[in-house]
Amino acid sequence: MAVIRCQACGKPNPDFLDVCQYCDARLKPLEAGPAPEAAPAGDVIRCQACGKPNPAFTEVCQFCDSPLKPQLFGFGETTSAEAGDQIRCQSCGRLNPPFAEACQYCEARLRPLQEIAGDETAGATAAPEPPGSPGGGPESGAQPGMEWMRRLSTEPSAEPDWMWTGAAGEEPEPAAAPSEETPDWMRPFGGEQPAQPAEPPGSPEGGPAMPDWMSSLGGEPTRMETAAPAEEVPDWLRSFGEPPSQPTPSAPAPSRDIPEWLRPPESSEAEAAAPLGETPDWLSTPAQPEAAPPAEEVLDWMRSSGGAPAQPAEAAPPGSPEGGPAFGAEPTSAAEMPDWLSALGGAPAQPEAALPAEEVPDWMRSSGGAPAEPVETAPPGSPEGGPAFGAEPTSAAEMPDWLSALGGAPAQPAEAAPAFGAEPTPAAEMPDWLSALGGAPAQPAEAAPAFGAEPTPAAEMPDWLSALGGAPADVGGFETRPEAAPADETPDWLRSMGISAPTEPVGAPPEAAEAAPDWLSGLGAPRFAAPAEPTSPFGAFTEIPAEAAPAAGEMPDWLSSLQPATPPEVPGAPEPAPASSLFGAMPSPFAAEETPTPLVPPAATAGLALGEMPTWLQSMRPVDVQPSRVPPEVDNYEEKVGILAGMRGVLQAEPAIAKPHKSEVPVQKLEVSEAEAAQATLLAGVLKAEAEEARPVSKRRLQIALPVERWLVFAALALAVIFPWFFAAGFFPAPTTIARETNAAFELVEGLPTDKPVLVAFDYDPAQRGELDPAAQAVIFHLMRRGVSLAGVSTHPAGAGVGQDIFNELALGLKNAYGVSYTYGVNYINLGYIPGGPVGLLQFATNPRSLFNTDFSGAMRVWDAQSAPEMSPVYGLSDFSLIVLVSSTPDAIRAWIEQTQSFAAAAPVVAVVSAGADPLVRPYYEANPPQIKGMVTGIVGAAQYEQRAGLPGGGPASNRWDAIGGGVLAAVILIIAGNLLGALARMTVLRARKR
Amino acid sequence: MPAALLQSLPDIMVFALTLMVFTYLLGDNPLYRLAVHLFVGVTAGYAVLVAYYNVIHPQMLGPLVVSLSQGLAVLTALPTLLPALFALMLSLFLLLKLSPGASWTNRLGSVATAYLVGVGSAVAIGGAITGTLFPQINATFLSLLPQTELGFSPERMVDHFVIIFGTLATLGFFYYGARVRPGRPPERPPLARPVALVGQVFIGVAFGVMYAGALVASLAFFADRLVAMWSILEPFLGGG
Repeated sequence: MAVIRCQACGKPNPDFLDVCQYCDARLKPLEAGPAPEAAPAGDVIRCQACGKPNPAFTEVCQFCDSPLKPQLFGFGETTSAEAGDQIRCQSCGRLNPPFAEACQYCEARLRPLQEIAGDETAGATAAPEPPGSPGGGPESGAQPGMEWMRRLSTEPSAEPDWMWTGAAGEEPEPAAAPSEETPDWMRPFGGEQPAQPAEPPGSPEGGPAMPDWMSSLGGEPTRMETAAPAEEVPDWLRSFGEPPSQPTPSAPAPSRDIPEWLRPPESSEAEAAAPLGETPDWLSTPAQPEAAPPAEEVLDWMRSSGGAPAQPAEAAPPGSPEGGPAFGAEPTSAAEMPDWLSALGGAPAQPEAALPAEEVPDWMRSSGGAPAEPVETAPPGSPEGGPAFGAEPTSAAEMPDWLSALGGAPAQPAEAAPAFGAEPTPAAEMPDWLSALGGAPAQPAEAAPAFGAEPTPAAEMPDWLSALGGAPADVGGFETRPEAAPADETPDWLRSMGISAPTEPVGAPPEAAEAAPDWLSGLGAPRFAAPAEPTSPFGAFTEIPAEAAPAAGEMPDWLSSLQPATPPEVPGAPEPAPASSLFGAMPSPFAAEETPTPLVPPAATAGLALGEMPTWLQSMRPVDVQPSRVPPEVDNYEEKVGILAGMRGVLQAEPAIAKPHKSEVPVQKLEVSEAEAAQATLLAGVLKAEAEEARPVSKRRLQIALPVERWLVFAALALAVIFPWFFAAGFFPAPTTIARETNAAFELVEGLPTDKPVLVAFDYDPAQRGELDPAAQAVIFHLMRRGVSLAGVSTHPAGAGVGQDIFNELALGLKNAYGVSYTYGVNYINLGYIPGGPVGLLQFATNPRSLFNTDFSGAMRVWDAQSAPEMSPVYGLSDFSLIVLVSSTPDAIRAWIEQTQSFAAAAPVVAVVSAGADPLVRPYYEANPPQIKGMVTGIVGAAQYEQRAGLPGGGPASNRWDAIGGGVLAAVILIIAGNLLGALARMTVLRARKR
Repeated sequence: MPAALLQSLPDIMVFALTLMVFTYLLGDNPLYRLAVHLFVGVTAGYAVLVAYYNVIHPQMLGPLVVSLSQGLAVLTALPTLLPALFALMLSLFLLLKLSPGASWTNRLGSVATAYLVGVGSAVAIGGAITGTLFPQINATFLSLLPQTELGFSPERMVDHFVIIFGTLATLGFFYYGARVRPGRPPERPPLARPVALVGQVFIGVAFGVMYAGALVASLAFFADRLVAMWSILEPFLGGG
């Protein structure tokens, strides 16, 4: 099985895995899934983004939310072709209900505005218009969303007339039917006939579906209804770029690249359908000044505002088919001037007759307080008979209330409103909003408000304006003044609006309180004038009772309550900048020209009590504060590379803000009390102590402790060993209980035949003689006492010598004790060292004679019957009656048992082992059948065996029994005490840590 | 030098060397090092002598020398000398291991090493299987309802149960088939954890017994030394 190593964690994984089983990283790169068309028709579609399988019925991947099927994100593509009744969002690609206008997932529009507008107005069908149709375009079939733009660019009929960019003299194609996409408010400008609009209420003539505000201003709906599209082009637009002459019918196809109003003046012919883009009269050169635009050509709003005379439908003026001034031509008469222009005070030198009262819209009439004159005929612009749009209210009755309230009551109802650019009419003709701004001309003939005369008294001021406390007389800068700036300093157009040039430099604060406008004065400068009595039609909402109105020079409460408290004095800090008029010069922030005014009046903080800072916070207050000397920011950086080379003020690639820098504020001292300093010191001490506890015990301490402990233990053990041996003999009684395995060994030795030798293996070093010698001597002495021949071997180089020494010592002792002569070579022999470990043992077990020719000393031939008669019958291990294994380690015992067991089936094995090796040798004794017939373990076993064998005078083990007992007792006591002390110390440390 | 002193010289040296070893209580010191060096040196020297006189000479060099000295024909004595010659050859190859690095002589020494390791491993493994593994497995098959001459013996039943369960638990402790999981330390399977815990207890008990035996042995050594020193010192102190 192949292995893939994960690139993330580096661990091997089977090759059939896709994801690492350790870190879940992908083992194999993602592969592009099959195309949706190629996706199996079954149950699974593989996502092309993440590669994971998805059910076939899902549209979007359930793991990464990407569309599973290819999307047709054509701009403006409708949905019905793809997803049945549902609409697919072009932004996110998700399906939405057919009635939805915005995507429910990403809130993007599902249908273009053009489509919706067309649907709303004419119930347009969803089918796109065929290319080339007036309503359609060459690309309508593909991108209906762009259709509205396309129509504007390609089809003249879709464009309003005033946007007609056709060639000179060419008339725009009249729309066969009202465009479905053109909103109603644009139709009048587009030269399109309204498509069966609903009759406005009260409109006897059944005019177009025009908004009321337009209709009320307008005009005669009949004009708009019956006039050709070109008739609806305002004169000032129509005359743009068009010569006064009428365009020829055989004019070439219009060029739609340049709007007409941007073209140079061209002659225009007065035709029924004036071409779009004709320059308005006021922009065209004067051609036929005597020809006044027919009344129906001038939009009502223009007429009514400008005060152009309401003329009956007459021949077209020079600049347009219907009349009106050509582009660039000064309006020679008020009739040529748009009303709104004339109303602004640009009345021509030939004032025309004022508009009839019925042309004044109601809103103008009512606001201006003009006497309500009976309306005999339908007013041009509204059913109520108000003045037409643009027509100046000839009387106060004709002026709308809001306008009259602004003080725009006509003073000279008979005077025509000035046209745009003409000399300003008297102030009486200035609209209120203009006059309220203070733009009253210095000369009555120079400026005239568009919507009325000089501002009315304060009583007529609307509430919202008066509430701001700006009396008209107090408004600065924009107030109508009889004394205005010299006319030569004021542009005509501005003068006509009644605005005089400021006599003060820009930025200079007004010197007088009355310089601020009313609405500005109401914002609260104390020096602002107090408003007069308001007389606004909105008095119910904005009227402020007289007693509540702030007095002159006082700030309103709501504003005064916002004033901040006096800032604390900071030594060295610059004084705050004085407050100033918004229309005055911005004072320097470091100027100390005026005393700072508190933002919050003291009265506002009267009820607040000064907060007390807590003591712990007070102590943290810096006492030594250096004034921050923040240098002023000076940008001297000059770019040296790139296209911005040489420029200053360029954003650097590495702004200074990103560069770490040291604070320039100097270090501050803290005010710390004695108690806090003591607490801080205590905390530092606790932390230091904890850190010291974690440190290990010092080396010097260990150097002293360990030797002392060693000496103490040695001393205790030495005393425990020596004292009983010297002074308490018999303190520890000899063992009376013989271990089972020791007794078995005794029984086995006791029952051995004497005609076969016994093999004794001395597999231990002289270092272990202190423990094993007593046990070995006990067993061997027992064998010697029985008269059994002995043969000694060893797998250790020094063991043979140990065996030799034991044999010699015991033979002497036997002779001395029992008078039995035990002769070397006759009764016992030492074969020597068996090399090679288990291999040598195996060789010895296979053929003992092949391994030894001579004994350990080398002087005696082992297998010679004369020299060693006890060894002559031995040819294998089975020829021994017993095998005694004396070893300090379990390895030697194991090796002997493993290698010789099959060759010494008839020879039992007795193990004399150290106390430490007993646990690992005992399984051989506990085996079934047992592999070891008896065991003598350590000094304890030796003492037991000596007791069992009844050796005279005891044996070495019995002689050392007291010493060994004392030592063992001392060791036990030391172990128990040491564990208790260690546990106690650990508990103490744990308790201390818990605390 | 008086004969008594000469006769006591070994005892005196034993006494002195014992004290030198005991000086280790004071830490590592020259006396202790001297004693240790003497012990190691004497032991190594003795081992060399034993190996030569008990193995090399009688089993390898001796027959060759004797046969050559006696002028025996090589072909005649070859069967008896072949093992000796083979041993001699391998011994020489083993000595070549002292040569540096990747030389051809060093590779010859590898032959002897390979022979030694191979033969030794084979003998050891064979002996372990037949001498320890099989008998011990056989010994673990104990009846949980042991019958003695007197009938059912609960004591032996408990004994058998402890032997069986202890053996299996000890073997279960050495189960290291843990599954490696990312972000987690390797752990035994859930079933192996309690068995391993019991086996750990048995192993701990065995180690404790071994430690106790080693402690007793050490005390025995200590007692023997003290007794020996006293026996050496006693005549000089006017005792015994």
